[in-house]
Amino acid sequence: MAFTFAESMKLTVNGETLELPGEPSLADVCRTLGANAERAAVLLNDTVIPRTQYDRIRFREGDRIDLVTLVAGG
Amino acid sequence: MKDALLLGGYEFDSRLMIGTGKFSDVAAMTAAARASGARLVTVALSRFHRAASDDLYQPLAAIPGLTLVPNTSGARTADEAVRAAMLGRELSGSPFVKVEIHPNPRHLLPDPIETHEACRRLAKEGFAVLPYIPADPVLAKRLEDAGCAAVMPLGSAIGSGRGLQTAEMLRLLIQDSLVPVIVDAGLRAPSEAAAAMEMGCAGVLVNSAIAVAKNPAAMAAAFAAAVQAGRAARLAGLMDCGESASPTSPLTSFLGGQEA
Repeated sequence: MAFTFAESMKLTVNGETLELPGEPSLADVCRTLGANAERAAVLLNDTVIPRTQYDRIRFREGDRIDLVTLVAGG
Repeated sequence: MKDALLLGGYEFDSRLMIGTGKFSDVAAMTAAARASGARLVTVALSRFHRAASDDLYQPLAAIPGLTLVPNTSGARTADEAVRAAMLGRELSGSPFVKVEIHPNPRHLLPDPIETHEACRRLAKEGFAVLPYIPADPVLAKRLEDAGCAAVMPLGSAIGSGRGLQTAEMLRLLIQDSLVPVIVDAGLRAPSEAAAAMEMGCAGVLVNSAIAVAKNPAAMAAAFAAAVQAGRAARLAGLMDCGESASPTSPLTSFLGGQEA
């Protein structure tokens, strides 16, 4: 059985459909969005991912990702 | 610490909390934050936008002694609020969360049922929970039982500047409450903050009244002074109010020529 490597992956990031090459990391997703990974919190398919697990995130085709940051508010 | 505000096991030397919304720019917001002397400052959550908004981290981190209080604004259900709180904790490292669930944008009044459920779950998760609530003494007790660090009843609708419309309910709520009561929303003038403190509130949270003032930093300082004055008056013990006059000078009759 031959390994097949996905050439690209479709992800919905902050409501936007992105097609990223290979198997994108969180850093790749952040870069594409112009977001600072240091100041992002991650919601993956509505589950909050703790900061300590950021390096280990493996996205799958069709995942919904929300990158959230702190903004001004009352 | 003398007369510290005790909140969820933490001590603060200011009873004025401020919000960071509605300021014209980050510089105006940080100037007001400094002038307010506030130790607890609320922030909101938002998705990253390509058109990067002003960065809040650096300017707020540069103010010594600040603790961030992320809010759950935008949440319409307990599930969403819990998720927002967890995101806020990841971002801020703060144990505090201001739970606000107000599904109707016209009046922004809190949903008490969803708020209670969110608070119950977040308190179990170890958050220091500060719920924004209607000025309902019964709900406040239920939230206290659920493990909230404080309750934050509204004075009037968010951003309305209508002051302490809920004064009668606030009095009852304060009488019964075993956790600090912090009036949140609706204050317009420092005198209203002083009145809330005189009534026995443990603190007040002010955002719009400072943010949209002509001089936000000066208004922040005015609110800080008013909160201190109101608190000092509360501790000093206000006199009872009566139906009729009570003379402060002897009512001598010699001026009328009728010596007794």
